[in-house]
Amino acid sequence: MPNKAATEKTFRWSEKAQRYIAPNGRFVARAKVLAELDRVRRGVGQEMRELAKQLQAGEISRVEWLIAMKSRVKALHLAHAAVAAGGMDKLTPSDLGRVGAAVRRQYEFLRRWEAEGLPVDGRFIARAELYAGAAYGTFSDLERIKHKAVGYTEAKRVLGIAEHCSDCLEWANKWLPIDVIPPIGASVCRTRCKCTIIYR
Amino acid sequence: MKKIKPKKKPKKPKRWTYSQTELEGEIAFEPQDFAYARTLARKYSTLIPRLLDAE
Repeated sequence: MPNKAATEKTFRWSEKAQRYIAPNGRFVARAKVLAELDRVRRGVGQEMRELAKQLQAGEISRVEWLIAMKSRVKALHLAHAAVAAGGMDKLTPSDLGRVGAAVRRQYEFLRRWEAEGLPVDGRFIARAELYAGAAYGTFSDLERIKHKAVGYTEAKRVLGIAEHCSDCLEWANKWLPIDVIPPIGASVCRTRCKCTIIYR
Repeated sequence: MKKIKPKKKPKKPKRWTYSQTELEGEIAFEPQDFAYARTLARKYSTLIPRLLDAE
């Protein structure tokens, strides 16, 4: 019996359109890709929340918590970057350098938390899952760089379904040069941002 | 009589519980990181793992 993975038809990446092409030859809706990435982030965010609870309950040590958090942060950013690039094997050394910088930033937040010896309270548990949200910024950054590389010149922030912060409301629905558009994560809502960026 | 100031104690170096070089230097991506990224994607989505393997 043929295995399922072998019979599954593969998706293709259109460099020009910066979109995925499904086995049926149609573009995969961008909203669908974003929704699926959001599901992954929420799932891993929940894992991070659970880890924080385990730390609070004394079931794991701080070091164990740090190791578990770091591996999740790294993998999540990597997966998001790969989706923005068109697949794992399309990530260039330069892309990986960018992902590495983003991961290092998150490690620095974790390090500061540990250095300050912050209390493991309710706020800490709520904060833990924000580390997962940060991966969306990495996806968005890489997506912008890839679009620019193939000739897109302008970008527009589009509001998602959320309670919007003042920055997102101000920056939304304006076509701006691709280098000027405020990145995801730069607004007051930071890693909770639900905006998307479209290009032309 | 001149008071002798006590010598300041040298600060203790910070004790890290994780890789200091990884914080300061490049983040290296090993095959197990790629594998774990796929595992997490598979756990929460059916579409994302297929996009990660796009041609």
